[in-house]
Amino acid sequence: MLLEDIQAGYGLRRRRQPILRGLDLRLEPGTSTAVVGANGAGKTTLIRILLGLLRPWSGRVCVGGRAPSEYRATGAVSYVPEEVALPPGWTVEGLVAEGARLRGYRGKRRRARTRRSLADLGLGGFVGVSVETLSRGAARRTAMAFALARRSPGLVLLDEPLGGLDAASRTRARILVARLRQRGATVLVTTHELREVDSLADTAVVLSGGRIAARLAQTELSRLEDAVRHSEPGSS
Amino acid sequence: MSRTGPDAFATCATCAAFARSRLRLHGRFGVLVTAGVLAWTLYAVATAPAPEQAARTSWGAVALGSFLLSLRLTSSLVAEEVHSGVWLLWAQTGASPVALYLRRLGVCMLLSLGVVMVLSGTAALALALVPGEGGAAPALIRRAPALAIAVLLQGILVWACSGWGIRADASVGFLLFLVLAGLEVAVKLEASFFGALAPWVDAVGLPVDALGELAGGAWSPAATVGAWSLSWLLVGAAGTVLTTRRRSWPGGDG
Repeated sequence: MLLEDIQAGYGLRRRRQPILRGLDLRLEPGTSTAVVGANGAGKTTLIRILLGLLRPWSGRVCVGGRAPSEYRATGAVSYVPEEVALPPGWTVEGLVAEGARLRGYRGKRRRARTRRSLADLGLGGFVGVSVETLSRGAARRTAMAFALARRSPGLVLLDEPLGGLDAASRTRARILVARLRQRGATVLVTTHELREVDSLADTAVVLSGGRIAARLAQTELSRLEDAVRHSEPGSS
Repeated sequence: MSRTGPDAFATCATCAAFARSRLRLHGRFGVLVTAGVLAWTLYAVATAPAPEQAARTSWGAVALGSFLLSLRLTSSLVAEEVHSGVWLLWAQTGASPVALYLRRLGVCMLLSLGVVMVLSGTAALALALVPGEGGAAPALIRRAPALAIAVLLQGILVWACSGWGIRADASVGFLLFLVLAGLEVAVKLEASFFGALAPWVDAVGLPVDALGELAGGAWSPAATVGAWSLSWLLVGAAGTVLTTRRRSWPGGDG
């Protein structure tokens, strides 16, 4: 996954200030990268570009050798937004099974895929439960199970994956991210929780003012809080 | 057990869940449409010079009401899912958005069929109670199976074809076709409100009209159903051939 000299924002270019200003980023399969930064730094904008939902004003984006929207059309992208919204009228199992069906699973494979996704996220006890009655944390886990109801490793985009989760669910989410990485997925996580970064990612990128202010490898993650502090506008 | 069975069951269960949520959210609109259709029927019964004409007008009301209801349910679904962000769930799977929502439209049409049947029963009862030369109930009942089959066929076709992965181009083409076909039926019911449009439609020469003529000479419900099916198959085949790659959700190409 490659982003080169990305300039992007919302609305017409000549009337607005860009949110991303010359962003360069390269992510390899089997890695997990955390993107941290203040509100408005451009984290969600970056995800929208990778999903192919926002066209950059300039620069080059390539996901799996294709344009983002073409790559998404192959069903190889998993995305869990920060604010999870689930469609009313579905059960947890029905929704996850629908996610598998839309990705081409049929018959026994579909049921097996659904069971596995539910088990991975600790949703075995929620099978027949209506999504409208779920707590915020359970809804987030359901959205993750829906997003990950596929076999082939691809691009996994998790926007604040630990938000609203209790301690046990956080542990489960960390294990899941590690497993995805082992299976060769390219994982990108955005988070405000700096202390969780080393459990979710092997690399961290600090976004500030639409640019990458710092890149930290796994051995350097202990310096993350300092890096974020120094990247804030007005810091000396 | 075959692989088709459980999948078909799962799809039905999925659609039933969808239908339940739609009806709960939009029950008031359904009641409004039902009331409007019944009012139209009673008006037709009271003012039509012949029972046969009253029956035709009431059928026009039933057909239009069920079509409006299905469009309303689907459009509200699209609006809600876009507004709440639910569409992001579907978008990431790479499914064609048009095919996805056409499947919902197909379910809504099947639901509307239920509405049509209930309304037709009610209308037939009302007409049967009209004093005079036997009332209009026999004429109404005679046309009921054809109209029911037409609506059922539409719903099944949209549902099945979207499930089979008919491409977005073909789906949009079919939607346009559906509107034209609906208009054609409305026009053919000369006693209906749209009857005044007949000369205009004849002048334009809609293809569905020509197909109807080919299928049955003079217009008949069965010929129209056949013409719809044949035209839809042609549209679907052309769309599938012309569209070489899978459509994705609207957005940038990066």
